[in-house]
Amino acid sequence: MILNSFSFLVFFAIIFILFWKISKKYQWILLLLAGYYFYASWKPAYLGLILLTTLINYYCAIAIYRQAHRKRRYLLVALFLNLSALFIFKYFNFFSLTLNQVLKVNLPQFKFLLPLGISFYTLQVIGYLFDVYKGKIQPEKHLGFFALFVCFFPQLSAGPIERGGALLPQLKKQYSFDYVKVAGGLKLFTYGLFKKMVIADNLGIVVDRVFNSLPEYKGLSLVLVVFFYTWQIYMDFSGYTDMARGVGKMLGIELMENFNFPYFADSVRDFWKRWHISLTSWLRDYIYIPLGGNRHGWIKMLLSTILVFTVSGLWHGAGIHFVIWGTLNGIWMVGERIVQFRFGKVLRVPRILKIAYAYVMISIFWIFFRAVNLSDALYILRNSIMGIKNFIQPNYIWASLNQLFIFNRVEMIITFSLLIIVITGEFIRTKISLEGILSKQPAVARFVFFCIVAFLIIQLRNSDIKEFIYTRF
Amino acid sequence: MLRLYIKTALILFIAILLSVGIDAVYRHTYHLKYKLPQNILVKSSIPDKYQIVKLGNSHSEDGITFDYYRLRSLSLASVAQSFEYDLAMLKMYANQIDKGAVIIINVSPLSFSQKKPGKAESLQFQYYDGRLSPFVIPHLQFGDYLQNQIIPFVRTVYLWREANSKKEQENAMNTFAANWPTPTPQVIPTVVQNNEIIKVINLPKKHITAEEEMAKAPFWPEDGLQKSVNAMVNKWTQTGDFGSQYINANRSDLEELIKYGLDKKWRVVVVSIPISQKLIDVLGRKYMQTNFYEPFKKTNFLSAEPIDLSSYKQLRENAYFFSNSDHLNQYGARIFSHLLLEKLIEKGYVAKDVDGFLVSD
Repeated sequence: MILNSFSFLVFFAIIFILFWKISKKYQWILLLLAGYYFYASWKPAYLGLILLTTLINYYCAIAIYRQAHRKRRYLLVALFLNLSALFIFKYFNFFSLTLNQVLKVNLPQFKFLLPLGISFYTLQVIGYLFDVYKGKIQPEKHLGFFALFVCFFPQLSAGPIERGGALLPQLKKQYSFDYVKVAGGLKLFTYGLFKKMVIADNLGIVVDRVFNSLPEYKGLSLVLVVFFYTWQIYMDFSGYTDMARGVGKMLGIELMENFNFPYFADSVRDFWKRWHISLTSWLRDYIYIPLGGNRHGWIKMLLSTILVFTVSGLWHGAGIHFVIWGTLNGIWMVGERIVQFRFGKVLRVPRILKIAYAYVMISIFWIFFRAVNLSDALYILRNSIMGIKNFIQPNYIWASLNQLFIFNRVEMIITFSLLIIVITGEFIRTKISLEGILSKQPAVARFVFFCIVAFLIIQLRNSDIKEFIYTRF
Repeated sequence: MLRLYIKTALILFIAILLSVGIDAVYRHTYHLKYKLPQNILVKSSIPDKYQIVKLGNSHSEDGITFDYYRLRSLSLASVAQSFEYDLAMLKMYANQIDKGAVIIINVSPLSFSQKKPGKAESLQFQYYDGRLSPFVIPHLQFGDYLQNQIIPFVRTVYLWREANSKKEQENAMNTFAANWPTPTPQVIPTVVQNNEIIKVINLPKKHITAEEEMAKAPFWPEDGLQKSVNAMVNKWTQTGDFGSQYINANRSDLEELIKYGLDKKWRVVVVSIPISQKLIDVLGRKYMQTNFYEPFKKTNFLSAEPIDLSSYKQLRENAYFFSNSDHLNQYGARIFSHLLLEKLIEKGYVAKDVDGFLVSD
């Protein structure tokens, strides 16, 4: 069950009605049962895994808190168990395949289905353990609330990766129906659904077509498809986040924002402060700072940056192209820091150029992220600039578009219209939020706006429900 | 809370009204009428009772025909149909099958290793198109059925885009095709149907056995099948649609299908259908052993009759009988069906006089 599926809409409608109808003291129990049902709908057998994760981390956190002299040992045991589960389900095949190739051994390959959200909830509980270890928060003593913290269904499949200190107190509260808040959540969910089903999935048609038969494409076609992908992944993931946050809000719970206009970043470093904020802040707090952060000189700081982003790449997927994607981001950020340090006061570059530079670099890095393997990524890099002199010739542009859209002008018009809506919307939203604009309009205009959004979602969605890109991680 | 429900319901209602409006324009443009699907309930609209029924995938659909014989036959075969869907078909049309009828279950060398269609695939196989009731479709996704068959106006723009896309592609291809050289016409064996008179070109006029018929056919080397062999092997190795991991599940489904047929007091015959030798050579001897002979041997046929007709070398090695690497053409189907009928007569499943059809010009 994914957030944009018909079955989820039915499931959530039932949970929503029950949540606001039952006694407040049972609200958390309903959410917990809903979380387990949501998780089991992916693969029922994995319910045992999340229950085990919950029990281990619950008891380890309490032991860390109560037995101060042994807290390091408990932390290490819990980390070992959490990371082992992640390793077995997500990385074992990648490592065994690599070792088989390098050392010519014959390690087995398992055919596991990746447990839903394992990368996300593992980081969430590790963060919680560290917070307890450092004394930032007290461990949750109520097993039920802690289980709900691990298995809160709106953010279970792809985050945002929440902190214990922010989410746990909210899960323990009893909620009364608040029209403004619930309506706000519903609007957020609708925007997310629009981003995912109308924009990301439509862009995905062209992107998938090209990536599934790469050798047929060269030059401008590849450049355009990378451009489409940058917006596809942004709309897909931010759409998911809006939906998750919207669902949370409709149940009274505020989840953290994951994006802050990432394509308006003026450097790669700035981009990472704006993209998947819950992950980058997690990496900063639980890896970068413990490694020394900015406190132990330049060399260590730069090496830590590269290491953190390599880990980030590996976290995203068990593949060498993900590792390269993460490492490239890390190395480039190190380069930016050096340039900033050496020439920061001399170089005066207009912000618009900085934004353009950051966007181009991030787009290049996305190639490694989207490609099925390293050779595909290198193919795109080698062939994108082929015939670059023709990129401004109308005939060549038209031929490239025809190739991408298989001569279908209607599809071209729809795709570019959606892109114009998104990019213009992003520009406007940097000045004033959509809610801000809508609140200044008369009630009828707002009503018409939501009717049109609902109509577009119904009619412009794909024939089949496509999973979110980040739920694969 | 009521305020929220009312507003949401109103917004959805207007969005759906707009969708119905768009749908009306679309149907007017393409001269389409809205109609509810046939066979929503498990009660088929076919009034007759049938003596012989064929099940199976496209190998059976293309390769078995009873048109030349005096048998009331029903085809329940369809492209990529798994044993699980065979069973659904039998359940759906059980009332239209005579007591003691012969049920031909087709097993081709690809049947055991083919991935079973699940929820994600069920829509692709057109089972919603009136052939199966939603109550017997395996792995039915209710949402899909609803929006495809009952309330299609919620996907009008998608359908319109598809129709437009097809039209634009055809236009583009025709523009290019206008400059292509005209290909030299090829002589291929054909079956011409004209009401009740069936004329088979190059076939002898007097009644002969299937083996004689096969022996008289011209020999075509298999080189022409190379392209489709490559496509099939790529499909087998790269798409994930085939693999040895699917064998056990398919074998178990086959056993369930046989049991159902026997429980209904039908006479069940499991027939293996040939694919071209060229494809077998490329897939390899081990492939046939692992993916066909072993599971076929392990299958519990109960009292059903297994008939292996996949090993006829004369049929397998002559490209004259194939439309591609693994599908018999009309001529191949005629001969294969003749072979099958002879076996059925020999084993007493059908009467001898059904094979009394005289071929005439």
